[in-house]
Amino acid sequence: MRALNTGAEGMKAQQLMIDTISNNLANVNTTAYKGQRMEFKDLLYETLEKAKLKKDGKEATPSNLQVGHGVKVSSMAKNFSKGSFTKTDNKFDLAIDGEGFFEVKGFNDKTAYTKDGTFKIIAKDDGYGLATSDGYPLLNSNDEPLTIPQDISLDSVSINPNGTFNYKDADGEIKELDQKIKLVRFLNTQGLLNKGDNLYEVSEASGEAIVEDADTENKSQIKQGYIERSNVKVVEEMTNLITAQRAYELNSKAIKSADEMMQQANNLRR
Amino acid sequence: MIKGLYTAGVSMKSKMRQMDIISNNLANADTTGYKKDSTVSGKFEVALKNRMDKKEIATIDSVYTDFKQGSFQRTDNKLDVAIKGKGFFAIENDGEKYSRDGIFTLDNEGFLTTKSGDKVLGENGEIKLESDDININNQGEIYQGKKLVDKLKLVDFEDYKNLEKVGDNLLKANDKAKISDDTVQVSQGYIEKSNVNTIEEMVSMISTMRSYEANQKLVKAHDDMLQKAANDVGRV
Repeated sequence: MRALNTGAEGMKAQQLMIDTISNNLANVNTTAYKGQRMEFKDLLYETLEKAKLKKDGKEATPSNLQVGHGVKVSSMAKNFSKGSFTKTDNKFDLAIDGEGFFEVKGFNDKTAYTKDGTFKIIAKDDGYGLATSDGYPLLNSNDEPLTIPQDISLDSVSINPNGTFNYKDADGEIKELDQKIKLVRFLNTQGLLNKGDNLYEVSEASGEAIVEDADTENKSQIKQGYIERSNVKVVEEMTNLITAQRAYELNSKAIKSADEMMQQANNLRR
Repeated sequence: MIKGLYTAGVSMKSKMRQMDIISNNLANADTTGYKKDSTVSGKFEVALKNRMDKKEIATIDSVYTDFKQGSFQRTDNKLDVAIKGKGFFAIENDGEKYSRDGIFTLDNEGFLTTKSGDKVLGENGEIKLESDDININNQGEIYQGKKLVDKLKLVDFEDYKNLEKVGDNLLKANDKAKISDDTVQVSQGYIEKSNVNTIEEMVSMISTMRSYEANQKLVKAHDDMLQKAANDVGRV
């Protein structure tokens, strides 16, 4: 009986939906987390009879007779809408207002991208650098880990919206650092691979990283002293949770009914 | 005697075997690194021809193990490892056996062992550690402090059909193992859960039970027919 397997596919799909919702809810406080949404598609149909026109004395059948086989997950769309910004008092908490991503040198020296701007100062041989909480260094526009020279006082450093640094030197004059933070964007943000640790990696589907420079339209702006919160809306997730749970229940009812019907068929002969 | 009786009987035997497999899967729905079994039934004519051609196993049912990746669970235990990709840990237990179960512990001499006490093999043989404060990177290299102690031996096989389950989460291979390449990664602090999907097993169970019931009705119907033939035909 097809209903048994169709019901099972339905239950499996709703279970995956609940997994996604609970992942979103678990990350409701994660900086710059982008919520995920499941998209479903129906499975192939078995054509019992095709629609045909009146011909050769046979009557026309205007509609097809097709039976489906259930549901399948087609994709997991990430919602890249902006989360709200919160002011912190940390000098090196950065939030991106726009479509850009920070570029960091991730695990095994592979380039990774992130929107999580909670950077910490790390001491290096030639000065200070900025790194994520896992220690992955932030890259500058020359594709090198950002380095602030040792003799500059960190308290006087301020970061402009375009990623350049201003600092006060020993004489009290405002000067500009020779590096700026690299911001990139992608043609297809949906194609980015989630690596965990708030990092993304480029894939064939996302396209290569496009550096934001002076000519880019709608350039992203960096806000110093702010962090971007998760864009998960708890009310929406709870409503989806209720829907998914009821759908799970309905599919289990379909399986139970199919089971009872088979039992009746078996009991036709005592 | 009556062909229908034997057909129904064989079918019921086959369904019983399927139920055994399903209940074993359900019993192991929570076992680390467990890979579910499935049955495939073939046609009688094909099995008969195979037996006549003196090919191996000529039964109607065959059991195959589905080595699909299970999901990961985080335990934060330094001695728990999970494999991502096609590979197995090599365990020393009366010859080299293989397993996907990554819950390891240290025995009283400091060797890395499985829960049952069998030693885990690295590329240089048994792995001896000084404490459980180790770091395992995603290539399987074990670091104690800054020192590289050994690399976990991760192997793979050409044909999974020759792997046999021997209990204690171990698999025996009749083939030669080859060392896995870089595509296989391990994660420290995670365990790989069973790949049994309870919904699928429950639906298979319903389907098998109903099929068993239908065959049982068939046996009863044949029995009634035989009774009529034996007792009522010649009655005056």
